Amino acid sequence: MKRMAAGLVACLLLLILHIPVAAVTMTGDGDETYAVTDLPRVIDNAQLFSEVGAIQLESTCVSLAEEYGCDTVILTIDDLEGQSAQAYSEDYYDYGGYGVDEESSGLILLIYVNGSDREWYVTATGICADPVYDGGFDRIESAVLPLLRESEYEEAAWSFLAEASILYEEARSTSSSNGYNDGNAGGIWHDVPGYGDSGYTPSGGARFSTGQRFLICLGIGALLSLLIVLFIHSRMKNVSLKRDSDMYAVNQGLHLTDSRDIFLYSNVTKRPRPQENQHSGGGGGGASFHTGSSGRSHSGGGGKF
Amino acid sequence: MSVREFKCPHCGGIMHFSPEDGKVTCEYCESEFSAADLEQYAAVLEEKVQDKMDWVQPDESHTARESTIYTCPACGGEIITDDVQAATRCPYCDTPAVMTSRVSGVFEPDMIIPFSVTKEQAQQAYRDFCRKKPLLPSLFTKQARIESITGIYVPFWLFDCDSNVTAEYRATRVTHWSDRRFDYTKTDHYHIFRRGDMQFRAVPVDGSKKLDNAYTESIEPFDCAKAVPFQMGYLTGFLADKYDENAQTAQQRANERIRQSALDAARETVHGYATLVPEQSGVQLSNTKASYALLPVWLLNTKFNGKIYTFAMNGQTGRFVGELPSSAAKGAGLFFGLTATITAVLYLLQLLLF
Repeated sequence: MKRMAAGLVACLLLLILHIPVAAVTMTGDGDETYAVTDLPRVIDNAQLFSEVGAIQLESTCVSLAEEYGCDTVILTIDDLEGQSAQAYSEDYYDYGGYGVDEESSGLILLIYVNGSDREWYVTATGICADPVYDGGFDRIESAVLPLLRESEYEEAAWSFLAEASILYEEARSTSSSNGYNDGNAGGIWHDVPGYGDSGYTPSGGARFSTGQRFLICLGIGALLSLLIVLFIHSRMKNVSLKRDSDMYAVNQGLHLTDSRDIFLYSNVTKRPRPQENQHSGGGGGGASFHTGSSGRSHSGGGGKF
Repeated sequence: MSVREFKCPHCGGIMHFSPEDGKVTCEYCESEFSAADLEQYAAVLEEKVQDKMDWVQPDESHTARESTIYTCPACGGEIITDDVQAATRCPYCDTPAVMTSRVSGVFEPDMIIPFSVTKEQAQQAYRDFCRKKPLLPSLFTKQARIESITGIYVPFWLFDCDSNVTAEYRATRVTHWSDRRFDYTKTDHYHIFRRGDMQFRAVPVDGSKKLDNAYTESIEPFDCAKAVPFQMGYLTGFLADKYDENAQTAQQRANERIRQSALDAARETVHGYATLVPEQSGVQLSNTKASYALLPVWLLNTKFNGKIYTFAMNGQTGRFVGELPSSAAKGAGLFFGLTATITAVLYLLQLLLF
């Protein structure tokens, strides 16, 4: 479902690309935003994007950073300088000073194109590392890799941003960090047609409208008052047949003359216990954890295409 | 050594005894039993468990004395009194009419408990009962004629007996434990047998058809240790009634109550089981005796909206019972008022808290 949504969003964005859009930084509905450093986020060394495309990608990266506190970097190069794609992307992110929250959370997409020698890599840092390892990388790969193979680099980048946005929202809603108290789905896609407000009210955690709350109070009130009235009515009559004649038993009640508890048989049933699953982590799709040269731990994946 | 054909207590199938380990096994469900336990179970099954609740009938031929019986023309209720003035208003249906009278032989009661509660105390108890009843129609309090509360000696049958109760149950005890792979549940099945004796004295059943048993039972208990041998003098200023339900009819009610007491007492001796299912039971009575007594009751019957409302008070202990009408209008008003209040309070609370 998420992949279809991402695909749909990518298509919508492709349409919007053809309309000149001012590079406006959008924010959420007045909730907390992150302070974003003034670094370039789309570095097109290999000249794979159009100028306008690059600017739009950049502004979207900045919006994502402000909304979710996760930095997104898109880097295209034509020379790996002897390093592996993994190391290059990790070092670029770490030493480039990316990441706007305390854990430097974010994603970097590296696209290396040198003639027929092409490689791509995604590195995740901070709160994005676990979601990427746990299936996030697989989703990014299936959204991005086909487009890369077709040399649709800009579309691949937009697809990557769509997946990134969903991943950030998941990461933020499961993490306990502050700065994200908004129940809105879709984040910055507020004004995209078809992706309006999800219907949540702005007040934190509220799930019922005023009218519904009143009806609930009324329902409880009616039920309670019915119980009270019925109780008062029951006190209007205190006449009833007696159940037994205990009050007429003399000599301390029952005297047992014969008492036998005879064991007959036993049966034992057993139920298998749920086995603890091995924590597979979903890394089978090619994502792995790695400590970069900076000492920071990242997850990610990639390969030739 | 006799070979007994025994059915499996679990599934009813045929069982096999294996001499090697002294165990008896069921062919069908493969349950295992110890021979000793089965012997006990067989012995228990052979016990006869049934009810036998017969009473020795009271001698109704003992001294009959001549007395004046007044009959109400409206409802047929009868009273016995020497006081002609008293026979001008029926205590059962509240009709003011002079009752017709006849002289008849009535059986003298074995005992009587004299009144210890006065009419003023009775009237006060009635007023207290009507107080603080929000649903009472205000017209009721205006219309009720509290001064027509009547002291009447109600005929009762008092039953004494020794009882022997036998009860059998099927019970289980359950234990749980676990290892790494499984959760285990062990259910032990038992057959429970109980037998005991219980004595009852002066179980009362009212002998008047005109008085609902529910009222006369609700004002119990009567302390029959304080009863005295009957003398006509006690009736002065009060009304009396002769029984029109004989001892045999009243016995059935006494049997119900005695049986219930005996079974409850037996059940309470069984402890420590997870489940307990009664299988069969029987109560047998002996040394039975039925006495005829007059017990004091303050009675008020008042008509409201075409229905008769009865109030009764134990003339010995002062316990007051009755049924008051509820006003539908007041009920509805109370309901809506309470709903509005509670809704408002809840709504304010949730605004503050959420």
